[in-house]
Amino acid sequence: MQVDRREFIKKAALSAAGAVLIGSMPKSLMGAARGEDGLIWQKAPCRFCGVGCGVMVGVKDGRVVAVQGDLENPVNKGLLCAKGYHTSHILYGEDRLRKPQVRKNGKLTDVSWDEAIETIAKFVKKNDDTFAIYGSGQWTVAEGYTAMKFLKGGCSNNNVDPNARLCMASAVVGMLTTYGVDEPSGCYEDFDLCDTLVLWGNNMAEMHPVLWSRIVDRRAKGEKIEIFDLATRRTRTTQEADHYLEFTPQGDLAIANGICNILIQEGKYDKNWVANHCNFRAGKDGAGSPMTFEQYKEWLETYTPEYVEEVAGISPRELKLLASRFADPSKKILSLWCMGMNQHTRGTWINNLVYNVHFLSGQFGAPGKTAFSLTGQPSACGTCREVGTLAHALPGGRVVANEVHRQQTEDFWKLPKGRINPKPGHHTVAMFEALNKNTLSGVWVQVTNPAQTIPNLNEITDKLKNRFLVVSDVYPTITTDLATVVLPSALWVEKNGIFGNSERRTQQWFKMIEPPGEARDDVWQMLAVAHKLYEMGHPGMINRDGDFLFTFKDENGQEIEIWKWEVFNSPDVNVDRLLYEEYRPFTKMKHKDVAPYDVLVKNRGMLWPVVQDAKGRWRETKRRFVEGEDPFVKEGSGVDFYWGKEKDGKARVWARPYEAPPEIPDKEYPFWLCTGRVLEHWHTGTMTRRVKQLNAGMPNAYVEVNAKDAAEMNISTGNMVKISSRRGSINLPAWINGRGSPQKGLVFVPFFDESKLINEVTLQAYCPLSKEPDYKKCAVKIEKV
Amino acid sequence: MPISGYIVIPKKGTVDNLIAQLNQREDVEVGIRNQKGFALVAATIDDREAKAFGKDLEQWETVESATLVYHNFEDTVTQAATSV
Repeated sequence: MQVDRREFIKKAALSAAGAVLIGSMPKSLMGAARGEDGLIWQKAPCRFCGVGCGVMVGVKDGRVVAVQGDLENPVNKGLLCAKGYHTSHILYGEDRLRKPQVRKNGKLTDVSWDEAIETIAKFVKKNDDTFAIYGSGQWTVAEGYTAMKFLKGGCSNNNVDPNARLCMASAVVGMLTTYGVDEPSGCYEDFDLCDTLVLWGNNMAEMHPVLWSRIVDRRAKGEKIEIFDLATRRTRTTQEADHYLEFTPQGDLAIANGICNILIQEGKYDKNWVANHCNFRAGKDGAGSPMTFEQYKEWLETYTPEYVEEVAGISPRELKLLASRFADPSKKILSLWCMGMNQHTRGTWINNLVYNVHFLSGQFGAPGKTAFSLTGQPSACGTCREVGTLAHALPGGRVVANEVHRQQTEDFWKLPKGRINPKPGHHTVAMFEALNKNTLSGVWVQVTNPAQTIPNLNEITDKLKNRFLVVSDVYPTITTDLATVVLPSALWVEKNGIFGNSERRTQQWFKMIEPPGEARDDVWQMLAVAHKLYEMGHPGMINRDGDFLFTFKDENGQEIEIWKWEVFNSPDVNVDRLLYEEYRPFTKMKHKDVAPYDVLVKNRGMLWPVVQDAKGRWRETKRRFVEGEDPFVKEGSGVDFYWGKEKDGKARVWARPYEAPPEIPDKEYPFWLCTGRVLEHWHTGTMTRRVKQLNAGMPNAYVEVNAKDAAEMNISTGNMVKISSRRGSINLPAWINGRGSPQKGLVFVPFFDESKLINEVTLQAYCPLSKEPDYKKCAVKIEKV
Repeated sequence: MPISGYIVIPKKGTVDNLIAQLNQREDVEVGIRNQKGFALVAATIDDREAKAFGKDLEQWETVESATLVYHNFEDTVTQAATSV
């Protein structure tokens, strides 16, 4: 009887599988499964932050009706944050952009796609050398790659830069100057294995809540993990910390040097690790000059605990406590940071210095021992850093200033020799300054909202309106308000996509639903303009074979007309796959080998470098530079920084000094201003403010004021406070002892609220190496109004 | 013993070899096929084994994709009840 029953179930299983098979699965449903609830469930990474949580997206009748954490995804193991659980709602705001618009007689007017594309192409044809593209860490890999090839390969113009310049550039230059190649060595598994966590100005509880849960949940399982929260304000993260070390803004530079000084003075640094893996370097720029360990030791002597207390405000006891953990070789220490260190006028230096601490203590290159830069955006790594959508860069870690790199790229793209311009374009702040001065005539903005996020906004906003501004977006924003052309875009699972997260995990998803109205993919928009230029005879849109720049052929050698929406949008054509596979060979050039598209389809992302083993299986790499894990590490080296600048397999320990910030509080402007994000909102709130549940949780911006300062100024929660800097002012309600509590003399304001533009107040100063602006400190005054 | 039904899409030109290879195994049965792929049923010892089988199958060089479309837990429950 049992056998019969089993046979019956087997037949049922075969029938079910056969029925789906005969039902002719469209390509977009490969990997999808129909649940008992009648929903088609498919994997995707979350749309929001750089953590890269996996979500399962439930679709019914062409609409996303459910989202749940993906239990199979190793990033989040089924857990999501408040934003993640509400991701699907971002698709369905009432005011989604549905029609292309062109400004006519001062007013944005609905037009056809043909007219919008032709308007852009005509302008670019005349101004191809003064046109720019301003993109995003929320660009998919294919979107960023298309923009690069379009402007750098098609227009011989390097003015492509992303909003990631505002959040990750210091981490990038920090890694490049430390070990010669971008992106972290470790992975999220190190979060499970460390026993000591040091947060360098990082409010993980709100900014990376799922990873934070991954850490604090370990305590619930009985594991011990000691948390140091180095910060300028108490936050929800502080509530879980064992030690809160409150430092004066910019004091982190001195703290890191102070730890190194203690380790060396007390003879508690890891001598073998240092001898085997470190070179020493002095200087303020990116190149520096060599120095000996003895010279470095002498240089560090300034950073006594007393000096650190003077400039950073933490006591000698606190500094020694933190240093004692790095002095203990039995510890497994993980350092984490994000905007607190990166949005810093010495962002590159502080990144260098945190590596110094880990290198001197040997806390690097082993499970649980690493220094890890968290990313803000879902594909700041995958797109901006790996594809290289930066003004100076080319895909695969190539740079435009290097002739060999240009030639390699010209070969990959089949361009005539000399097509790629050797002169780097404008980085983000310089790009908007150039638009301001009209040395750049126009810009195409995709997936970002610069009229809310560029520092010192008053200087740029009015001028943008006078330039040729194309904006591809999903909702009206204060940037679309200024636009000449507005293009309605497909969002998240309305298109195919690939994101690369903080831990080098490349994750792919398929289009699951149609975008609303006439909204179309950003990739298609750029391909359509490129082809229109080709039709107009623009010489840059022709490759050296005489073909269109973006030529792809089918199995029969016939050109796929991907610039035609009906072809692009056909279920039989996957342009994302075509572009990704064209891009993939670039990634081998700096040992960042990403997995083939079809392998990504089958996996919940893979950590690059991904290589095939002897049996032909694709194998990911958890820890770069580590023997036994990273396939490119030299045998017997243990740890091998194979892209180290000195070409000896070593990384650099930098002598970078403490330097006061460019604007510090004074009599007239006696407070520090720090800006940032909140749990409920994603960046400028254009998506999350349209999600009822999230907006109800945090409807408006506010200013956090220290309780003592508030008492001295007779300010209570809810009182309106005017915050003024030398650049501008805004009024906000005060919040005292609320979600966060800043140190005395500092106020905090979130930037999500488009009706309260704190970036009219912030300072236009940036790290001279990374060009990343400092949104974390400038001088303001506050008045009760 | 769980029973799982899959749709297997083989890599181009590999379907016959793949089916022959699968037919050598006692725990699987190949069902209907068309130009895209074929149906497959697998009987495994427990859920862990079922999961491992699915994951392993996806990694086969000749497999483009293997999608789980049917899974029966009933035998596992019955067995557990019997053993109590």
